[in-house]
Amino acid sequence: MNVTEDEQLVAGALAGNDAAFGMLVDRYQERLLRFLQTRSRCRADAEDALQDTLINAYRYLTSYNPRWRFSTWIYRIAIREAARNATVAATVPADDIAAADDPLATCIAAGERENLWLTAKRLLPPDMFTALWLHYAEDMPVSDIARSINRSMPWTKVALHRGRRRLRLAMAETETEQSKSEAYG
Amino acid sequence: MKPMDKLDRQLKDDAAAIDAQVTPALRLRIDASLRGVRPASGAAGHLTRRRWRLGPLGGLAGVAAAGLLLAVLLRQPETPPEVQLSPTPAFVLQSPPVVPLTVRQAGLTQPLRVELESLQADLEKVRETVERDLGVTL
Repeated sequence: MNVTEDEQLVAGALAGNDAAFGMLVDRYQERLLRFLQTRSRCRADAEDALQDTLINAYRYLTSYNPRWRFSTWIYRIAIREAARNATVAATVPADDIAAADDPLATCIAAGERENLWLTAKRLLPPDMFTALWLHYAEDMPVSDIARSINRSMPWTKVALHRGRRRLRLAMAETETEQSKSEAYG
Repeated sequence: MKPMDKLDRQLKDDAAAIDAQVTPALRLRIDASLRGVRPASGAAGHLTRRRWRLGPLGGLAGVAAAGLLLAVLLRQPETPPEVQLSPTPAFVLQSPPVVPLTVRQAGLTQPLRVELESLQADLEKVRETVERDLGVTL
């Protein structure tokens, strides 16, 4: 990731160069969609959230502070959109959306084990999940994660530690069950 | 740097395994929606502010503006322009009425201090007479 280049593209977009923002969209659309799928009930919701994120990013581009990474800023918008969509989705009866529509269940190639992010989604609160996601999927430093989720640095460090510990326990339980089932045939 | 353990590796692999391909239809939809949007120009952005602060063109523009302001100030006349006053009212222009005054020269026969004491004594006599005749205290 090239921070300077992102900033140059933002400056170009503000100067009226539409192609510059198009390049930022190219750069971030899949990363954002991957994240938004983890926070949405179905692929369609994630796509709507991606569209809203990019529109809002473009509309409020003048408020971007180049002191921070562009990825931090745009993730902040995406997190807000995901939360907004979750609020709207909560008003839709769960029966209308089949459990099999969960993006994490449908997008992950069927394997022998469950995708760990699906486990994380079940076990962790949203902010803790997002902190882990930004750490592992985006390689963000803790300061940027804290800024993205609008939390303090100590909170973020503790959240990362606790999230990892819960997932490690869940992994250990799964492995124990698997070994038991293998032992008993 | 800490070596990645099994959990770290699995979290990274599983994140990468999530299919996040943006379909051409979705990209078209995004492009179409972006065409209807312009960056808000209301709040001055950080980039814009910094451009004014750092840009050489911004500095030149500032110098030019200051020069223009100086030129305008120097071209102003030193004497203030005449202000047209409202006409003087007619009653002010008329000469004041003449009051007939009778002036008598004081015939001083004593030094001023003695004359003053005599005048004060006369005033005191008059005051006592008035108080007595009118029955009031002055």
